[in-house]
Amino acid sequence: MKTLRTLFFEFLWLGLITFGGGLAMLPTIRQIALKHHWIEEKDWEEIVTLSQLTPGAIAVNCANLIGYRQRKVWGGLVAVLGIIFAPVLIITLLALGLQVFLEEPLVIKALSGMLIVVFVLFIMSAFQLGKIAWQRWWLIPFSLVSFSVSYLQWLSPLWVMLMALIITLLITLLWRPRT
Amino acid sequence: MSLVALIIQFIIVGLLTFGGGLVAVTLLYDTFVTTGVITSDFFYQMITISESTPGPIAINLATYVGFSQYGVIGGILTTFAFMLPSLFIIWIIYPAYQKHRDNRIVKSVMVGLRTAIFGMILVTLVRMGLTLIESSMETPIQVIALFLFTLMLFKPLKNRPYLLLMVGAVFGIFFL
Repeated sequence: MKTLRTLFFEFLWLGLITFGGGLAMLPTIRQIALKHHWIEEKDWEEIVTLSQLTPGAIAVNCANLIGYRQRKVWGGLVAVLGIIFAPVLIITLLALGLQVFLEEPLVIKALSGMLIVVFVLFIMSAFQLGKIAWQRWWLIPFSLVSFSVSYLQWLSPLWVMLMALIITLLITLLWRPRT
Repeated sequence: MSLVALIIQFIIVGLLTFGGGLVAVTLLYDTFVTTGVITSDFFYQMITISESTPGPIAINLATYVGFSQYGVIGGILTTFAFMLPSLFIIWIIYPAYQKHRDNRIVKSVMVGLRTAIFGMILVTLVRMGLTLIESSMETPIQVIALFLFTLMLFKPLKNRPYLLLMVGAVFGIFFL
């Protein structure tokens, strides 16, 4: 019970203090999960990879996985409810009429400053993900192909994933490691 | 669009979103703006708000779209509809993954898909950068200064991203 409560409130706090979307949230999630010994340093790479491979928002998947490791389905559910609690509440309040607040010139200025910081956080997060994704130099061209077809909108994300799956399986099955 | 149709649309978007929330933005645009449920102007206003409030962008956007159609209940339902596929997929896949994590094929699929997704994440990064450059045409020097300043502060404040954001907000109020 105590773990579930900690999961909920830690992820609630996280959902409240992290701006700039899921990717910018990852370093803070990692730090909190390490602090509570929910994960060890070596588990992080696996968690981040799985949260990217599964559909949906990366931060939500990350919360779900960390919660699941502690208390199975309930842990995952509680962590996810925690991480979305503040965002859903804030958006609802804004949509209910606080929107005027966002039209204040001072608020607009503050937000445009924050947006630049968010971009830096985003770059740093992408840098960390790149270190995980490009552990072999020959993987880089594959990412660039995926980048190009997505950027030019030739293939939807689902098709990119399917193609990547097929290519990976072909390479794995055709290339036999020397034993 | 009826509430049931709205929920089904969000379940589909939740299922097709690979590579993070910003992919969901494109999918939602195709689903709701192209079909005329939401106007393009309103959609971009929603994105700005979703980006400047805390939390995952896809979640913020789901809540907002749902709210705009069916009020508070609509917002909560669409948010859960969006998350539903990923919740169940993780609960099913993770135990299976734990059993087979040392399998050679499982390992290469992880690496292969991760490589593809990183490419899609770079798309998001480039798009975000281009939008930022476009919107900072009026005050380029201030924007570059804040950008470099944040880079410098990143290391010491790495574990306190909200302090960095406060710096950005204060800088914005005085210089932007």
